[in-house]
Amino acid sequence: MSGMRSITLGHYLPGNSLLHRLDPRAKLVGLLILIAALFLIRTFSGFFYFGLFFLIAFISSRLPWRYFLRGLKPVLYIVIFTLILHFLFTKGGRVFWRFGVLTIEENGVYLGSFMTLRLILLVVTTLLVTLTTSPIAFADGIEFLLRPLRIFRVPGHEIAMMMTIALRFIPTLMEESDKIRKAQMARGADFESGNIFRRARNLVPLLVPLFVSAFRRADDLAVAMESRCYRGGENRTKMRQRQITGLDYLGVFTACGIALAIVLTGV
Amino acid sequence: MLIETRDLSFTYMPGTPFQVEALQSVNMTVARGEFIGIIGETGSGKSTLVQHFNGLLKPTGGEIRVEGKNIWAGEINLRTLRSRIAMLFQFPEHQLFEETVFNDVSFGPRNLGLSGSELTERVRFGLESMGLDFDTYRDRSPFQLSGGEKRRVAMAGILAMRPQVVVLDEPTAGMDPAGRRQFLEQVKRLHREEGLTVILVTHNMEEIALLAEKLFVFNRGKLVLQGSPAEVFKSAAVIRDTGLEIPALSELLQRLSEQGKKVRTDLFSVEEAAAEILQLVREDRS
Amino acid sequence: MNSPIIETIQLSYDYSLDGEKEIRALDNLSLKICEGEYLCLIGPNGSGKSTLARHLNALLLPAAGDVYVDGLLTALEENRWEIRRRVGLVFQNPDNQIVATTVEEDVAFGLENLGIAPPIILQRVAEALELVGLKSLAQHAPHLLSGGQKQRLAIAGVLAMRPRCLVLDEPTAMLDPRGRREVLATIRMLNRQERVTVVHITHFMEETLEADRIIVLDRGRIACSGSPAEIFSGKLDLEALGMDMPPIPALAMALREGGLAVPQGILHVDQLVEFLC
Ligand SMILES: Nc1ncnc2c1ncn2[C@@H]1O[C@H](COP(=O)(O)OP(=O)(O)OP(=O)(O)O)[C@@H](O)[C@H]1O
Ligand SMILES: Nc1ncnc2c1ncn2[C@@H]1O[C@H](COP(=O)(O)OP(=O)(O)OP(=O)(O)O)[C@@H](O)[C@H]1O
Ligand SMILES: [Mg+2]
Ligand SMILES: [Mg+2]
Repeated sequence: MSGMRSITLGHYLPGNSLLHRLDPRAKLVGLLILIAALFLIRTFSGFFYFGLFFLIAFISSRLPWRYFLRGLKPVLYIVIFTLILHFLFTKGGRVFWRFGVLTIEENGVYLGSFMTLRLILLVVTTLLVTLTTSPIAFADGIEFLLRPLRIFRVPGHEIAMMMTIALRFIPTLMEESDKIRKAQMARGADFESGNIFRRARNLVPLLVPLFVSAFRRADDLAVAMESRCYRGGENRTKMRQRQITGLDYLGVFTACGIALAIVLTGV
Repeated sequence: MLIETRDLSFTYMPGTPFQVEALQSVNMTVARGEFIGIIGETGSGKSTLVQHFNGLLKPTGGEIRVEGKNIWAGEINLRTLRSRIAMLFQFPEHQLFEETVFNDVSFGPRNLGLSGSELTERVRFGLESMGLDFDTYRDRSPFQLSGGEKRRVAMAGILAMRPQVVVLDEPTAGMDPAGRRQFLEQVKRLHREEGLTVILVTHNMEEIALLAEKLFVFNRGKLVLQGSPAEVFKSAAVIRDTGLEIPALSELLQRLSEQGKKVRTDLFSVEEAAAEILQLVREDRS
Repeated sequence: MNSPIIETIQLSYDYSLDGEKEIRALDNLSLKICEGEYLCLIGPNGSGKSTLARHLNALLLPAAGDVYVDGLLTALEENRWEIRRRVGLVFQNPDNQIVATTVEEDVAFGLENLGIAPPIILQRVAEALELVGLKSLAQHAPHLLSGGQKQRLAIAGVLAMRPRCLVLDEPTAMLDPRGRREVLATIRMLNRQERVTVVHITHFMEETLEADRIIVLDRGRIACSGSPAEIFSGKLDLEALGMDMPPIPALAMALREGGLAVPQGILHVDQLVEFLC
């Protein structure tokens, strides 16, 4: 596996579409509302309308669909797993298929498809938001959403800072792990063959240096931040105060409206 | 020819918006026993290239041959290949992981299936080739050594595999002048005495001009210049265009020669340059 | 010259190993750095250069002795943030000092920490990026920059805070020749035009030739100090200190030994060419 240098979490693709320009706070609030709607939907027709709405949003975002589909790959297994689980183990209704003790029954098929659809829509909607939101904007959005929780002493700023740093360092650490893996392979290490225990043990030459390096980087970074006067969220300002515009209200209202409409038709 | 590339190309993440053509149609050969230098600015593809030599990367176009065999056509076992063409990455001290120096240095030979006294001999050879005393260092923790020592232990771990070729990717970054000098001294000695083929990737022009017999210059994934250091640094304009620079002594000699002085411009050591200039001055006087 | 902007008085510092054994990293070191000076700090690995650098902006506090920055004592808690604003530190590894996910946000980081008003931040960020020549890359992700660009970004991040002194710990160690040239040119420009005091730590002797003063550190002490012409005159045994002569002064010395009357203080190719022609 090479070529991890450019990958960031969520694979954000810069752009200038409506979705790209929406304020991250508006986008996250909208996303939460839509997800809530998704869990209230009880019929397939509800999913159909939701899917239609997603399609419109997707097209307007002008993301390359190949790239989008690639981002879905990791969740594919979970989707298939859910499907199989429900097909095999949810019982009731007509029996479609039988093999020894295994049966596939009507309720299983129904529930399986239903759950899978919900999962897919959930994932694609979230992916659409992450692909059109830069990591830093995303972190800002999270910080905003966590603000009400301050009364419960939830450190919103710190969590957002941690997210930003994690996002910033994921490419670096991936690159590093790639490098260490190759360095050990050059010394004859074998990460590919053997049974699971052997493989786990063979990972030691990769994991030890990776941890050491992560700690060293963390240490370096902490020193660099401290030397630039970082002292937590208090009295901190932001270069770009994000301005909520009419567009953002419109975005949130649209999401609300659509969610409501779909839920009402689909419950 | 020991190593040979034919129209070698490599693209990272092909088919994505982030695609990078890191190497484009590179043709080069390395003969047994040579001391090769590879230079080029950041991102010119040096590291990508050398990772092809021992099969860590698979070409996306063209082929790479070792002793005449295409390494990706199933004619060569990759693990054997890697023990013969060993490679030291940048900041190699970051790959140390064992509890003792002995265990770390023996990692490579153990992967080759060695054990017992043979293994000990290999470790001893590795450490002593890098000027580290076997008994003093064998039981120490590699994490408690100084930066320079760590780096030499890492190099010892490579040498303990008894490779025919070592590929060194910027091995002296961050070392002080004395450490750098000693490290390269050891490498040069192995080259001379053991006939080790050395491929050195570096950003230090002064260093490489003195050491290498042959240089390859890369620019944006293409091989743009090759030849002896004298030949390569004669093309000062090309070198500067690719973002590199020529060693200060070459620059001086070239400037003198531009001023109409009859001096050789292919000298890279202070002693030789001094002798040349002294002779020039003597001739001028008489 | 001018008044000292940084002064260390009999500064000592120990690192503890395994909780008990102590390593003396700085040993009774007294040093004055003048306003507007370009100071190069060299010395073998482990001689205490980085440790000294970290004392200059209160990242480390002396075990014994005092450090004053602009008259402020680093040991006092209440001075800390002001000192860190006045003395900016740039480190060796460009990857480990970039915090944010865009160039612009990273430059703003220090100013945001100081609680400066957003319009002023925007203006200072633009200024700093202009100075280091990264204006066109303001919206880029840092991990897509070249090494030299990353290091200039790190410098910009510090510059935006308008420091009086810039301390750079091996800023070129991981760079290619072009990146090194860019960074060195930036440092020199800041020193000459913007009158920023510079402390530059390096293992490359060629880089020290433009300095006003070179200090050689050895085992936590000042082994010698002087102008580049003095340090590289050939009278000091640099090799015993683990250091090297840069090629041109080395050649000048060899010529002198060969009987040619090369004047003292020749450091650059131009000077030697001029002498020989
Ligand atoms: N793992 C990777 N994923 C994606 N792109 C990569 C990866 N490694 C290198 N590249 C890109 O390929 C090109 C060549 O990189 P390479 O590391 O071979 O250069 P280099 O000459 O070794 O540079 P340096 O002097 O900085 O080490 C660069 O544009 C780089 O960004
Ligand atoms: N965090 C630490 N813990 C323990 N000892 C340390 C630590 N950092 C440095 N030292 C020790 O303190 C001494 C001075 O180290 P320092 O890093 O200041 O040297 P340096 O001159 O910057 O070296 P280099 O050229 O390798 O960067 C060394 O002996 C080093 O081993
Ligand atoms: Mg490289
Ligand atoms: Mg240091």
